[in-house]
Amino acid sequence: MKRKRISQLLGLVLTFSMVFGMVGCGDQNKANNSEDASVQSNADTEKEEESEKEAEAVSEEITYPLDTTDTLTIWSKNQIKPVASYADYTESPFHTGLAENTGVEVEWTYPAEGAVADQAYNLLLTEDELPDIIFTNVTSGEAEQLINDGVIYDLTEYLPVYAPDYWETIHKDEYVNVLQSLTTDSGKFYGVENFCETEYNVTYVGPVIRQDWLDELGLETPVTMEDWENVLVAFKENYGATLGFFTARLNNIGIGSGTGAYGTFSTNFYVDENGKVQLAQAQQEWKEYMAYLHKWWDMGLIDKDSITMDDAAVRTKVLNGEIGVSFTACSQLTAWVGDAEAEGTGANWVGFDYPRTAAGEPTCMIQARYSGSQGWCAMVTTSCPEDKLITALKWLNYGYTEEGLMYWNYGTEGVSYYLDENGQPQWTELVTEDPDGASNARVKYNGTSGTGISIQLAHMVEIGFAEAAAEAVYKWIDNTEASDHCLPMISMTDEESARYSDLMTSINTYVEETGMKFMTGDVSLDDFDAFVEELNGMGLEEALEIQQAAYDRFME
Amino acid sequence: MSNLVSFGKRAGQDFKKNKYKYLIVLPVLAYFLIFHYKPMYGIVIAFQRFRASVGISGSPWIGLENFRRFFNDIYFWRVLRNTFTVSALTIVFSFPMPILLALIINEVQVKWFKKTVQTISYMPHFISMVVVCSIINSFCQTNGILNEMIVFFGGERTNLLSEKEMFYPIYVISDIWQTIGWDSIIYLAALSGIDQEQYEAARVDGAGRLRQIISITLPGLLPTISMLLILRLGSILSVGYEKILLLYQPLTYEVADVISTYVYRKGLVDADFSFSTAVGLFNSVINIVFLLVANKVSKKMGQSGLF
Repeated sequence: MKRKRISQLLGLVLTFSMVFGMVGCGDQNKANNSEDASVQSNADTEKEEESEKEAEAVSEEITYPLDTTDTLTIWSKNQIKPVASYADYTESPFHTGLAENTGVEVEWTYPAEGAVADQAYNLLLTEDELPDIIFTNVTSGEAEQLINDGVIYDLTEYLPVYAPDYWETIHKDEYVNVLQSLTTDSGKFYGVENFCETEYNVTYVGPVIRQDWLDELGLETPVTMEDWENVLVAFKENYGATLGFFTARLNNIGIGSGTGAYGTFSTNFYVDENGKVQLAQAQQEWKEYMAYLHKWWDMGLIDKDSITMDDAAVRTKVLNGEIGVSFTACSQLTAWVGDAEAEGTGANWVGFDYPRTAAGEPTCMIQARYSGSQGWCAMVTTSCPEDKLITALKWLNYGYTEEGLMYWNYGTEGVSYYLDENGQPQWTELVTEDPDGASNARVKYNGTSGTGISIQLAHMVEIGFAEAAAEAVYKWIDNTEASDHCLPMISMTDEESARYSDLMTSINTYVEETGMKFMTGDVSLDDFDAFVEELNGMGLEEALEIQQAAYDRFME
Repeated sequence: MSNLVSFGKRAGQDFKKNKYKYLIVLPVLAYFLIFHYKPMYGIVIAFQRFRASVGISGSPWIGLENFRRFFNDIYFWRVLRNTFTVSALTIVFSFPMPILLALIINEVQVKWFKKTVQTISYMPHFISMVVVCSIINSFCQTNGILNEMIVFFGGERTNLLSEKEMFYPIYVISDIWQTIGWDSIIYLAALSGIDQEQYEAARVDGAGRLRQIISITLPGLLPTISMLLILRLGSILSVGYEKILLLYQPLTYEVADVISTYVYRKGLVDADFSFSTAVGLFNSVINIVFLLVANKVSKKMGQSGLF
């Protein structure tokens, strides 16, 4: 919570600096901001002094709405999309409000309905005339290529001048680790990046259990793999329920932390104690992990449909009481809690810690190494003339101003949100009572439910979940030393990445296939050494070398 | 030379006589030129390392590298084998079914019953693949209808889609269900073209229903059947990815992973257009070989060919 306070204060400072910067501007702007001014007058004077100093430091003052006739076109890879019930962005409250607040008319386009987004992006790049702004996920290596091909602007010189709030954001202490990944290997800034406020935002999957059954049976929440097994056996005997999951949820880390493994069925790389990049699946810990899964599979403790189930199928089984322990995401947990209430099943699903090798040991890595940025960024294409580039950057800057941050996350005060007695934003009834359901309604008014051109606030994420899910996340974040083993967002050169993906397609297939066969017993774990040998034969070592080189460059 | 002149002359006369018919053909011709012939030059990216941002003219040439990558992949033989297997199984089991259905429908005398059967059998054709596969998926679950039957007969509950022995039966049987009605239309059309007098003559000669089918109906259908079979063989490597992608999972990759799903996974990782084009080109070449051979064999056996 402390960190949030600080960032709010910082934001306040920003608002002040903006408002003071406006004093010299036209009357029109003054009128627009009189509301802001009345809010700030309540704040303590100490802060005011500080803000005056800030105001002097900022080089370029930007006032919103901007006084411009420029219009922008933006292509977004299915993010910041109007909800399906609106015909297009002109009906969406968020998009129209954004245009009003920033004073810039923006024409939004997205991949065609039903198109594969990545393909649509690649096809877009073949066009001669591009939209002014492209919002997509790129690696810094790809961005460098785009700059060299003359597709996008190198923003290194423009950002500090025309996007000062964004510039300030990325130089904050909490994002010091990320600053490097916002630039290409040669040090160029290529876009305005989406940020997540804390590790809370990036943690969203983990183990969940029927607490009511644990209580009925007088069992403790399981900690080690042995505990898990005891609970699973008890659930099976008493309720006929099993461990059931959607493999895509379990794929990355799953419950491998119970044996110290860093992956389940999908290939997962991690950094070992010596700073060497390793493949989780080639380790003895992973073999132990698979041995547990196989044992549970044979004992009938794992739902045999887990291999083909998706979220919807799991949800049905959960509602029918056929699953007692699972591994899922907050959004699903929220849905399960809602189902249990609606149907009155009395099921009490709670999130709990990832398993440990022994009590007191670290539990897991968080889903992604928390770094602030998630690799999504808005790039300005060279189809945008240079004079319009300034408008584009000022528009992109909006999400990082205090006012814009609130707008991108919560919409308009008094319409979609209000501040509660603690000064925390809460959704109004317009959102919570929306016939489409609160989670859909949220997207009508904010732009950071997925990734947006702003900072996704942890509080916004938290108030979107059922209470059980919101609490579960705190259990799943265990940012102990284990997270040091997480690979950061490294970037490969064009050649490296071509060779790497070539090698990895086969390796991915082989690992996933064999992993599941280890679980079901189609392949005996006695063949584990042969499995590792086969991986090496497929060029695992070369893939590791490529990763290592990229990692070493990142660490420099 | 005289041959050419007379051809030109004949064509000119024919054009004058049938100019409106030629006009009707025009849009189709334009369609093929614009959407099938013009894009063909895109095949060159199979020999490049294509980058969308610089286009075809700017991408570097890498010769046969993409083909080498495909042939050297450790899964090459597996996906090739599976593709042939899936294709062969559908040709052996699914292909004759619409013919049988058409023959049966043709024998039914009660009109309303005939119409009802036809309409119902068309229906699966209009159900989207995603829906079909989710139906299959729920039938195959451990508590699905198929497992209830298996348990009733004393079997053991398993998730059928995770058994690699079950993949082909599930794929082929559902394929028959999906295609039998729709594909029978063309045979029914061919059947209506058979001269009814032949049947009358046969009846006078004392031929029974079965004899009539064998001696009149089947020979009448044979040109249609051989034509469709040749066309089917011409797409032997083009096993669509949608259905397999929706039904397979890592446990059944061994039998279910085909060229198109392999390319899909590969493409998804790095949007590798050049590679998929190379594989597509390889598919087309194999398909054409099959088409030509089938055509030749069909003609040798005294049946009509495509050309």
